[in-house]
Amino acid sequence: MADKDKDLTHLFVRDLDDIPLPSRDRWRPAPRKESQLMKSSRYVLYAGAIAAVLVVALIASFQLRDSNPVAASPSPSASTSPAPTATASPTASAAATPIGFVLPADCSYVRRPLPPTPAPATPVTFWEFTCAGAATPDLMAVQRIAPAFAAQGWTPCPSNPGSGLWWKGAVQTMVGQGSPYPGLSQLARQSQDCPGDATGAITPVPTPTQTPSPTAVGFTLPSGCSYVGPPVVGTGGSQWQFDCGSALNNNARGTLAPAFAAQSWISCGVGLGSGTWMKGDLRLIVTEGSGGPAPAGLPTLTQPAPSVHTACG
Amino acid sequence: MTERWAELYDRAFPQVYRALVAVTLDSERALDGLHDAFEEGMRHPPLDSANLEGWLYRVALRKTRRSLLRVLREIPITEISSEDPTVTILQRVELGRLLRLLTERQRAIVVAHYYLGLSQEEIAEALGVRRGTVSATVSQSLTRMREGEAKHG
Repeated sequence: MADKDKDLTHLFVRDLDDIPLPSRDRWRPAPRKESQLMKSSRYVLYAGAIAAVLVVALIASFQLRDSNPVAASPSPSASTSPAPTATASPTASAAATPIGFVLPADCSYVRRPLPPTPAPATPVTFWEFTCAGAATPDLMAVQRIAPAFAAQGWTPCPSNPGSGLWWKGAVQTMVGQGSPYPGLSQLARQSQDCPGDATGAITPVPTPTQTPSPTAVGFTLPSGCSYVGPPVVGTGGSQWQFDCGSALNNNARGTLAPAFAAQSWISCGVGLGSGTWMKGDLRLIVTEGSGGPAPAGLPTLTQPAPSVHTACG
Repeated sequence: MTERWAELYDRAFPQVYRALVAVTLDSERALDGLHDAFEEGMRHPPLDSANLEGWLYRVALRKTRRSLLRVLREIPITEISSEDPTVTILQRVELGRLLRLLTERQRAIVVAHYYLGLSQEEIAEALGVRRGTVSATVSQSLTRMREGEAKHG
């Protein structure tokens, strides 16, 4: 980025971050009243759509039964189905459990999986799960479930702090924190998410070998701000939640900017809801919180491992 | 998915809202655009990908620009007699003086570029123009702001 661009970026962030936000009750649109006619029309449409889906599913099941006797076996589950082959991929109908993965014994799915999102090329199926003794939200969900992936032959992919990504065969599975429950989503393997060479080998992911630092390395929060809970450590770095008070949390980047500058950090620019700073080979990313109740709604500081990111951009 | 979408919306709201205010100079229109985008996201949640926040900005901007198209000509900021306190703040700061030199379309592009950090491809998609147009507009806007700065200073 040219110096002039950086100057302008700083100017935009400094001045536009001063624009006051409307009160929280105005962020989302007020619910609209629906006429009886519209309601009736909606129900007719829903009924039609459901009938169409049932017909398509019926036809598809007959076709599958004719072409593949294995698929006709009753209620296949991950515990009984074979590991996915190179051609396996999640299908458009939501499986009861993820392909090729069984939750640890002390964990269970919260409800039926959400159906695949409407993307014909890469349908994504989403499950929520909970584990015995886990807090809500479960900030350690990824660490809790990672050994099960390793034990079941899944290969880790690079991922952001607070989430985990694995692939096996032609399937990739992502685990992320969620509120109130962590989520697990599965889709056909995307090479940009899980890059590998022609042999299918994947780029080694650096794993943390040291005890995670209780605070961000090289940066001290300004007075009035404090870390909330231990960091979430992922393969790509660490993530902390912090609290500067409800008023200042709404502008986390602006609140921390003077402290970064005073501690010789250089701004790498801003993205949507985030700002990145660099000092030497250290990077810190400030992400605005949702403004919701703590701790889930708090802003976060993310420090990628130095070996993963060594420069702005 | 809709819960996740709502959470994402809340997270991205402050930045997208401020960007839309800077572009439209109208806090109510900015809010309307975001409300429309929220509802579209509830009906058709975007794919679970890394670009969910970009989706919100693109849709909100498009919704806002639709209402903009009802205004048949572009109005320089100096002609806008706004009593909106949000906009008044923008008019006081240094950036407001620079944005005042640009047309609304130029403001939409430079705010997306310098405040939201969108790429030229993403801006081109959001505004329905070609990438070359975005590049040229950024260049023209910078020139105009530099000339304005020189006159002022």
